[in-house]
Amino acid sequence: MQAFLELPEINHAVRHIIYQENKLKLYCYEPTHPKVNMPPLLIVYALVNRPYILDIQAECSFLRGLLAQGIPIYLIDWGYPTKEDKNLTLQDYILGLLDRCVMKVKEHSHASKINLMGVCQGGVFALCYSALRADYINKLITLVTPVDFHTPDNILSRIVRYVDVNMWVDTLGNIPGALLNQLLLMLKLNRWLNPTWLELLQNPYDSTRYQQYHLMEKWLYDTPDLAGETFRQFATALYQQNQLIKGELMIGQERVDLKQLSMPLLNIYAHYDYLVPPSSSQALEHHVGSKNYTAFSLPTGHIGLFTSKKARQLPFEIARWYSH
Amino acid sequence: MFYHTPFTQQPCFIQLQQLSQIYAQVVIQLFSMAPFFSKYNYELYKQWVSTMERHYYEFLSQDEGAKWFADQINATLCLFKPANCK
Repeated sequence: MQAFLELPEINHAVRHIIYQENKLKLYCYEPTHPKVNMPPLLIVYALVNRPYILDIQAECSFLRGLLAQGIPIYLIDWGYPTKEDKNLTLQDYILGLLDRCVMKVKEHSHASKINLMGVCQGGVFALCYSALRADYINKLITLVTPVDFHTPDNILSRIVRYVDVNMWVDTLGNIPGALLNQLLLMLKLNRWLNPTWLELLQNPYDSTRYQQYHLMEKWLYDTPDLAGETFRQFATALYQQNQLIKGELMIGQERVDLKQLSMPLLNIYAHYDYLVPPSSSQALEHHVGSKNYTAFSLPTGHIGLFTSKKARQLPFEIARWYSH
Repeated sequence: MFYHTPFTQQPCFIQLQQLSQIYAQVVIQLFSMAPFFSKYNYELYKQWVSTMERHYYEFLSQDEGAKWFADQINATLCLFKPANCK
């Protein structure tokens, strides 16, 4: 009975902070594999939700899978923005915080160039940064990253086009995580009529299933607020105006041109993703300058890419591409 | 609609909110499943959910449905600061 009552804790892989600025923390993970001379990988997660989904359970951890392949991992945790952060812009995040993290990883790992991996919205940040600061990036990996925001099957984008973004930001300042979370969950009717509980009820004494379910619930509702100005820019420029693939996106005074992405690029997406449909990610191929472009999808959903049994081979596949 | 106040940001409140959401789901599901419980027809329930979801997606995939969805949220936010509304 005790096992059912205890709320499970996240048991992170061994890591330490190498840089901290405002709410941001940059982690370096302890290698678990003797293989050396692999270039460092900096993981950029989205501002929405928390990056511990990549390492939510030791036995099915995407991040530990990468470590086991000998890849030195660094991870950006953006933290929880508060009122004082409401004026942070995409420029502050991409050319400020992210840029300083890249410099710190270069310094810490003694590498002249690093590899970058972006997840979802973090993938958009990684694309923008790599296009603007291509000299620092050796290889780029994007996971479930939206590129063309106006594909016909992109329900989220279709809705955001009718959202009064300025009114949201002017009214709320930072956009509350709870609001974003409920909106995303409302898109998934299955979530509200979820048969998972039935499966739990059918095996009421399976404490492992219960713990897994609770961990996912904990992560799902752990959504930071989003800096108001960043939300305004991201929703308007990308979701409403689709500026990234049009080559019109401005980060500060600099225009993001995806043709500047000439480094090897690996683009991974999920076949059943309802937040970032495969068509949105697939569009990347037609807009980058890289001659070395690889893409594949897995038969899972947006989060399943990091938690599903169907994606267990993903770290191995990434490492294979990584070492070539 | 949820609006943060100092109280709602207390860890105990957040935990309470999470728990209430989880248990609210259980109650909703138990009620919605009632007709099927007698037959233990879990598969039928799953099919029903899947059909409902497909209709819901078809609705949201059209401009009319997406606009309706966005309008509900815009209207809710208007309640907080009507001066910002168009």
